[in-house]
Amino acid sequence: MRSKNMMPKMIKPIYAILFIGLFLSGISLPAAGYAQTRFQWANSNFDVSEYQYLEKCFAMATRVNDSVENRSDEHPSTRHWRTFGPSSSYHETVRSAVAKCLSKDNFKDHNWVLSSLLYRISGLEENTYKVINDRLNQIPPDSTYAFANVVDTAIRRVFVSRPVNLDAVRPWIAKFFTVDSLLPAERRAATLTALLMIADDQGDLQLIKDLDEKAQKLMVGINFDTLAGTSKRQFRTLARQVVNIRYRDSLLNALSNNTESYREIFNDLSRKAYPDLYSDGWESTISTIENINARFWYPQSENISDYPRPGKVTLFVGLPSGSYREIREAIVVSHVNRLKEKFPAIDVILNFKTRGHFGPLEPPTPEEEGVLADSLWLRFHGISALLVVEETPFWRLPSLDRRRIDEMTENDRLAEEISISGMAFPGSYTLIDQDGKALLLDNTPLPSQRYLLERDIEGKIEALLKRNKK
Amino acid sequence: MDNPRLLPVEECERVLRLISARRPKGRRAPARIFSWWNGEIRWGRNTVTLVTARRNINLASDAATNQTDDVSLESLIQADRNRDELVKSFAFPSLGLSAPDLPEPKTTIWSDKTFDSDIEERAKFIHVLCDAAKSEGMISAGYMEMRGGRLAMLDYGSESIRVNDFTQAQCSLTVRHPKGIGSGWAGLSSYDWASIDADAIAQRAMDKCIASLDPVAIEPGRYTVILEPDAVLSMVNMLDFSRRSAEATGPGSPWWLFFDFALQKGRSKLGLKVIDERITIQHDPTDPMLGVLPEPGMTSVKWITNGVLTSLNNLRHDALEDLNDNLATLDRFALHMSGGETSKEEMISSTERGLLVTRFSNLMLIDAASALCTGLTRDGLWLIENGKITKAVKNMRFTESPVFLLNQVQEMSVPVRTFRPVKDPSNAGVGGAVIPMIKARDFSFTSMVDAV
Repeated sequence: MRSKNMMPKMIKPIYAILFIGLFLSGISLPAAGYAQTRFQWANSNFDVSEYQYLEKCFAMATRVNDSVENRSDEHPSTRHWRTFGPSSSYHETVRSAVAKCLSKDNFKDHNWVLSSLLYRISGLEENTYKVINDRLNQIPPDSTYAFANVVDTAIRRVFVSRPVNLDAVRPWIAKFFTVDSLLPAERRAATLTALLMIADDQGDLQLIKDLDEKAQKLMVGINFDTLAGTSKRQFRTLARQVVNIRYRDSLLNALSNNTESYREIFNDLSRKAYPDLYSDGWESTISTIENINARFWYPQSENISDYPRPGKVTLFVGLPSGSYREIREAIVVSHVNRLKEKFPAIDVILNFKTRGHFGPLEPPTPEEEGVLADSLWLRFHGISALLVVEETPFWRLPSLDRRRIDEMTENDRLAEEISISGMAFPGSYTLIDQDGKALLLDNTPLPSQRYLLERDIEGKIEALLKRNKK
Repeated sequence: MDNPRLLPVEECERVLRLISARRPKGRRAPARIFSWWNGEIRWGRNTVTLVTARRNINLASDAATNQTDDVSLESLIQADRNRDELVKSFAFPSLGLSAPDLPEPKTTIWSDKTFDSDIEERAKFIHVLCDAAKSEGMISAGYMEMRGGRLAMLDYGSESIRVNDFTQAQCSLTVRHPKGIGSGWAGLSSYDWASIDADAIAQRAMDKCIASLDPVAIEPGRYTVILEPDAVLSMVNMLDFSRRSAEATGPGSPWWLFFDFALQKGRSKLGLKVIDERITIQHDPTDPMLGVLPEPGMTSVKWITNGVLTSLNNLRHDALEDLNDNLATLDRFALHMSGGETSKEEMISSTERGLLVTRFSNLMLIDAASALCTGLTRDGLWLIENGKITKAVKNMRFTESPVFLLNQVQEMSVPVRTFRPVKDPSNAGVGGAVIPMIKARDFSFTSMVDAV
């Protein structure tokens, strides 16, 4: 997996100028005002409440509320995000604008999910419940499927994103479980997973116990071998959540001692709880990750062959691309920066795969793309990490259909091997312990589940770091 | 070629250099000036309702004037600058890398006959036509237009200007019986007015109207049809050759094949035979018959080659991303369809029982996956029995896919220029079409329509 350091010796002058320009423009942004960018807020005459579409308002509000702002340019893989401190006045600007936007009656009817999410973002929590109540009241009493559908959507899309007032939603949940059998089984699994996360977050033991029982009942009689990968993953995620929550203390205790014993305990407990779900084990049985594949890496002063460093806990992050990339990029920056701030002792490795094509521009070489990645992830976002750049191998469909087909990189294969279920999507996280042994984290592609994902990672990092103290 | 109707080349160059010198710094798009003239006549109920002769100048496509004095030009330049500011306030800032220089195919779509036509000539023709319709006791309505234009551009960093001149002409008319019991239509468009025989068009519309009087009702069903070129064009128009549709994740185009789970990509029917092997559908930007001014980078494309799907339209973004091509197949749907050598008379004489269709209208797509569409016949439908046209038939609704139609072809005529006017040949949009007449079997008519 190791490859030679083939750092570019010659970069085209125009790219060099471009990179310097990008870097400098990032620094001088506030001073320049950047008055012509699309998403400028503070000094702009454009008000979010003027948006004609709730989706657009939501996208803008989410970006600013998550402490990032897009100042993107043509380059689709190097969108720059400007971070703001928690005391930024932008938040208040956005919240008041969102409230104004929502005061338009047609918006609430237009999309109740977005409306309720916007209320949550703008801090008007009570209105969230009101919007959902209004929606539920519109459903005819005999339409149980519609009721189940609305509550299910509210749980998975609205409530899972942030701390929720359980008392306010408990009546809906109680009624939901009388009609939820109308929904497909895999969707019920996803809803149960979200509810488990919420209950765990709130520390509601009784609800956790109830949900645990429901999860057990749901899994009975399902022939997992016949399911498609996505459906199987829904059940597996639910099962992992159940095992994680049910046996958290003993699992983390085992992890603080030894990764092998943690794997054994986790796999044993999982097999006992759900013997039919997977026969090939739950946690990876891969022995040790010796080194990381890279064509280029930054900072260049580092020695790639040292990584993952013995005695260090390493967080390996597959950087996002493809759909939802812009949002995931912001989320990854937030995740990694927060984790690095909380656990400065850990190593973070960002894995960047080259794309080779950037919209209307001349396709850059891997060398040029590597420099772009460095300018974005390390210099602009200021992440304290090792950035490794892999060249994505590809081939072309024969004859008239000449489309480019990207293949998995070496690190992709590694992540897939670790995760067993093939969840090596971009933006995935893998934790590597002090001995180079990898742990599967409950990755989720949903940006709205950021808080819950971090909770899982933080617990495991804390357990691993306890080894250093022993 | 210089004429007061168009801004002279020297004046274009002067204005372009003036604009170029005063543009905001960093603006890399070419300075563009579009000078055009058109003369048109519209008439209805045998009376002329509109006669115009206009000239205008567009700068950067947003501002316009019909004066070339300094004050007007200054206002144009200011409008261009304002537009720049407006665009900049909404657009993402550029990285400063421009697209590479693309080759520009050349064609000539200029006709002195079109450009030199005057208002008296056009008015005289219309009066003759209206009088002819009146004498037959019919009502005529139609539209005639001549258009000429000059597109001049000065590229960023270039010393010389590029000038493209073009002309366009069209004439179409409907002749109807005052009681609404018969209707005939004919029309043609071309860059060259000399190639449009307006008298013949008018006579054809009149003949069709008279022949379509007192139509009879027949049962809907599957009929052998002889479709005139305008009817064939309506059907071919419903074919979407975009790669995005053909390779989306689900069946949204007749060219969709299946979803390849191994590759996680939709696969199209590229390379497969999809229609009759005698048919080739292509677009050549240098073909003057199609009446388009090629943009830099525009290439000829064969969507269908001998019945095999051989190409799909790409945006440049997709071409770069998926195909490693630097050029897009710009989606300018001018098309040239191959044909045969059978005449209309031969088609009719070899038909035992069938229908002759002048054209279709109100076409709607019902199912994108099969390109199934529905529409109405219009302005002339006749029954053919034992090799002869026997009677006019009431209009009918059809429900049929162009893919099915082009797979059921029996005979084809020599392809001819059809009525497909090109408003602005320098902008992407509909281009001209060269289409044959088709005889096909088992065309599905689903109901009768009383409207004439």
